[in-house]
Amino acid sequence: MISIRNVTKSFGTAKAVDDLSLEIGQGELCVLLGPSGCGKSTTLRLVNRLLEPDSGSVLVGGENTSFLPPHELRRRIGYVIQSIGLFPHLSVHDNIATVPRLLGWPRARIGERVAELLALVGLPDYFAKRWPRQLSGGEAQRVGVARALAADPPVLLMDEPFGALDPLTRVRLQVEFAALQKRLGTTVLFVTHDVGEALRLGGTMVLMRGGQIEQLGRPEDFAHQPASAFVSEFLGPEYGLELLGRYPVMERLRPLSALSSRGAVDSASAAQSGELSLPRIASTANLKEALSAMVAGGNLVALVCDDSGAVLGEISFEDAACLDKEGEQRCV
Amino acid sequence: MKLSARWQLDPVLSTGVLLTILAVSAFPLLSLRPNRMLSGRAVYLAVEAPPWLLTMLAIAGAVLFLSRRRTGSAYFPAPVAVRPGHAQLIWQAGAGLLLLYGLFAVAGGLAAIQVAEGGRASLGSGFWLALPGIYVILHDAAGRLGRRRGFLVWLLAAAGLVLMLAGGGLSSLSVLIEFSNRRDSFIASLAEHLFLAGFSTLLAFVTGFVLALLARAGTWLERIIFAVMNTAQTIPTLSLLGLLILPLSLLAERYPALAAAGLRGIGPTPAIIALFLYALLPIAGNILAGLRSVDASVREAAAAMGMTATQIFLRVELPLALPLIVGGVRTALTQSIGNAILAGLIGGGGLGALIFLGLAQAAPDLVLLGALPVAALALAADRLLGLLARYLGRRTADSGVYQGAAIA
Repeated sequence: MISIRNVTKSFGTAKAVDDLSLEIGQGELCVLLGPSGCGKSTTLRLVNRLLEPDSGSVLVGGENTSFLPPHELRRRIGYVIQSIGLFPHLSVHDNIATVPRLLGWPRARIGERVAELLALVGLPDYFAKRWPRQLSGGEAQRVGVARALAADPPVLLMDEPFGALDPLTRVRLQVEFAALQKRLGTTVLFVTHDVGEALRLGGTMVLMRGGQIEQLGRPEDFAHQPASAFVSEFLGPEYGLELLGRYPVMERLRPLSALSSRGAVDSASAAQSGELSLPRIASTANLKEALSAMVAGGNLVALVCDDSGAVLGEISFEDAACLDKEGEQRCV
Repeated sequence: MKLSARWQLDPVLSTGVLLTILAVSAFPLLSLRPNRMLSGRAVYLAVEAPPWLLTMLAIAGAVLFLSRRRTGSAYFPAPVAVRPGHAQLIWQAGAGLLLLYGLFAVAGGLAAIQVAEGGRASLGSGFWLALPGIYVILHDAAGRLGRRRGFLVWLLAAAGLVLMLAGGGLSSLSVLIEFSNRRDSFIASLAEHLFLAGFSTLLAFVTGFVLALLARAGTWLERIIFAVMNTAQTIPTLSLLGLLILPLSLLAERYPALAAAGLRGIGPTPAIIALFLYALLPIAGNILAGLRSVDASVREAAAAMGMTATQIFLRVELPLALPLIVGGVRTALTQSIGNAILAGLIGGGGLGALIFLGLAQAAPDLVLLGALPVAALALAADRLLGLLARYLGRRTADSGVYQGAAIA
């Protein structure tokens, strides 16, 4: 969907992007990761021609972007930035309606679309009448995302969109956005310097350094085969643990009977009656949370419970500490 | 002696009340003269007014003065807890309005009595000193009462005076006698004045817009344009008018076509040119500042949404700059209304002509007939455009001057 081919971009004598090539498939979520000044934002801005490459070409949907007038290209590409940039003199409704209006949609269709988008980003419909000044940071960025998605663009560019939000709001928006992206199938190029954010979003990770790609692949590849010392250093010593956050415990759930064979508890019925002192985790938890509960509870086994508190099964330390299927075999 | 914050005397209010009391008790309210040229006899409120009125005024003044207030001024509001309550402010505004109406009514009434006995009654120094005192009382209350209630206070003040004028309650005052004698020339002067100030501001707005856009395009252009405009702004008004006489008359002499079009060393043309030059800096400066005040992220978002440069300018930059642009017009127009008085010196007409005629004839009523409307026009232009700027900025601006007080 997006092809970046041998693109170079310099500011003065400094090369921000250096002979970079990158293919992003239809419906893919690609995270550009790296320290400040690595060229990730520049790369993003080359796609919607907020910047023009010195050499090389950028294709969107198979079309060479340099042959299109910039404003027509940009109407097909959603764009979300950290500072959000809502128009302060326009209501939330009019902000979201920006691109549809530029495209000349009829009024009725715009009204329907705005209502649809507010629901999509999890805002009640009366927000349409609010003004940007009245919104909290999280609400404003939800509007920012809605505005970018307004004309249903096939491609969405996001430049640290959740960077200025408080940690709780940030994580909630990351998780919601990852789900939204899967549902809509929009092709997303997402820039961040936050490894945790990249992992929560999922998708392909591209680690950049000095305007070039240092490593590209699944998050697991970065742990198993880091391309360089820089990769390991950037991802940090806790990266392995961070990775576990990507896996739900339900994938590793074992029947409760296995517990008794370990001698941790005398019978299954005791566990169900709630007398057991094993740590308990929710069925929506991930492996990192499971490990955390085991550490806190001082046990190598945790019980997985549903919303009502009924025990669904158990998860062991060995199960929780393995990255993937191949890893599982290595562990045993 | 240390006063607790709660019972501290309000410096603004007490100044206003003291000034008003001093003015009406120690200075003559009216000056009575057998005719326009001779100097007159002073009429003191304390001597002429009936005792019941004096008692009432004294009580109102004392109560106002003694109504000690908690601290915090309209411009630097103290935390909510120590600000005066609404009841206090409404009482203050009401008392201020009563004082205002009373001052005019008493002056008009006394004048009518004196005129009936023959002669002219003009307003005395006591009246002119009491006005700013009452203004301070009203301004303080209006500022603290918030935008809407504050506007209502001024509306009531203006409406009361207009009613008294229309009802003939003030028509014995010499200024109004002067007005009815010269009604036609007054209206013509007023129209000329409005034209001088309005047209020069309009010209400055059109030119200033172009200059601001040019200045925005390049830094060296900006430096040149603003250097020239700053210089024009620095030259004293009268000097500028004087400096324009010679080159303009030479031009008119050389090119009769220009002279036929109204270009001359004296008359309305040089006045309009001078006023135009003065208005240029505030207008162009504010347009530029307004356009620059637009957040870079907003401009980037607009471009990234697929707006063309023209669309960004018309749909985003201009609406966001509008409050500041109106602010520039406000400064320029208010200033032009005042400066247009000087057109009277070079045959450009306007209310200045009345003022200078009055000065030449040593007729203070004629001076007032010219000066009062100018002051009223300048105040009205300033208030109305200020309201417009605030209305336009209501979605985007952070809490304004009066908004803090509005919470109280």
